[in-house]
Amino acid sequence: MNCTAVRDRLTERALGAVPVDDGLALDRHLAWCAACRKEAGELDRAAATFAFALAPAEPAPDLEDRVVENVQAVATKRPLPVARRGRLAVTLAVAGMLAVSGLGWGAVMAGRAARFEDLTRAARQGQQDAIALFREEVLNSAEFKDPDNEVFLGTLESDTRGATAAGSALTLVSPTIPDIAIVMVNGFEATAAKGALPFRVFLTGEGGRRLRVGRIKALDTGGGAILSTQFEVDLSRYVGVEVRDKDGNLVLHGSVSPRPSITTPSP
Amino acid sequence: MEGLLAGDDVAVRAIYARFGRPVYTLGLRLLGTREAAEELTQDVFLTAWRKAARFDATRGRLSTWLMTIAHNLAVDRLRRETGVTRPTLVLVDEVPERAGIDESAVVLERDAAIRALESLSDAERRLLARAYFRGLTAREIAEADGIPLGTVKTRLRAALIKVRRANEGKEPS
Repeated sequence: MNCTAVRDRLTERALGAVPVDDGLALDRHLAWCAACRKEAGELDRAAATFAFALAPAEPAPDLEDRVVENVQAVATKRPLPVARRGRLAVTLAVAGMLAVSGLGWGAVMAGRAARFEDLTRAARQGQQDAIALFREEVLNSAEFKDPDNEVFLGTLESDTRGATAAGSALTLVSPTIPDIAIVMVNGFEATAAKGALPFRVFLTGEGGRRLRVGRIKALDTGGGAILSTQFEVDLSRYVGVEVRDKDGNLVLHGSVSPRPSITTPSP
Repeated sequence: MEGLLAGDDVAVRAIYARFGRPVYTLGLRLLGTREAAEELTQDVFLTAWRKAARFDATRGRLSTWLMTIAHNLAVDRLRRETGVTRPTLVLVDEVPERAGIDESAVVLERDAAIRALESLSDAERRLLARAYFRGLTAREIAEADGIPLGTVKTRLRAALIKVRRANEGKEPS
């Protein structure tokens, strides 16, 4: 983007009304263009006026302690932040995952499993395929090899007897780039699952805290879907993963653990 | 900011004392529940810690920086929760008054903000609010109102520049 194109969008950016991808493109320009950055800063300041004009609300008295404890927890555990880098590479890696998913990796099972045993076997195969995709498309990217970044990975299972659905979850925790969560599900019987959609996907952490990864509104022909979300919060404290149906029932659950302990499901 | 980076108790509490309530207020107004507003407040301070090394006081004020983080996080959250649909501002009408708290700087900040917004016409204020509180893009506003995109962009920019000029020299540091 050149300066003219950037400045055309700075007002919307200041008001928080640009799509994420456009915002990233603008940020990349602002990282090196001092003139546009100055303009953006002034517009940001004007937009923030709206926030300060709101009638003040009273937070819970203990919120201050929780805020301080959270900051101290990450400040003492992790290295100090340095300038952000590599965001584009991670985005591209995730985009690659999404592109592969778009082909319908959940379809490894479609139409090929008439019996329960076949379904179970196919679901496990799909799970292994998913983890293989993680390894090939994401884990081999520079960000996931960066020793400063922590990678957590795990599998998702259903408590329902005979269920064929399963999933995988991955989180990248970094001191220098936004943390990322990727959750994949597969093996859902598409017709039956349709009435349970949308699925809501959460990361869970200490004290029952939950982060929303997103919603799965539709499944591919193999009963699969993938979500990817970047977070500005530290995901290292969120190791639980929940997939819930539209009524809040737990559909899949699991937890992520540091990369060395990644295992594929037993056949 | 060095204190924030180190997680220093006094430093974090000082920043919270100054900006915790405005951040919480914005979260409550945008997200609609106290729980969500509290989560947002915690996320904002964690993000501030993470990005603290990038904050440059010569380029902008701490208050603007924090509120921009808060607004972006809130809008991102609304978009995640609502999918492709547009974030909807949840207005919370019954906001408890605070009492007995000496926060003159915050009061001054709000007074300055209100004065700045008074420089706008009602139409300009509504236009900016549709973008800031509802996340509507210029294109969406143009389509909804049946007016050219360029006109909407020009009006948004002109209105925001009005606020910027009204702010100049009036805000506490």
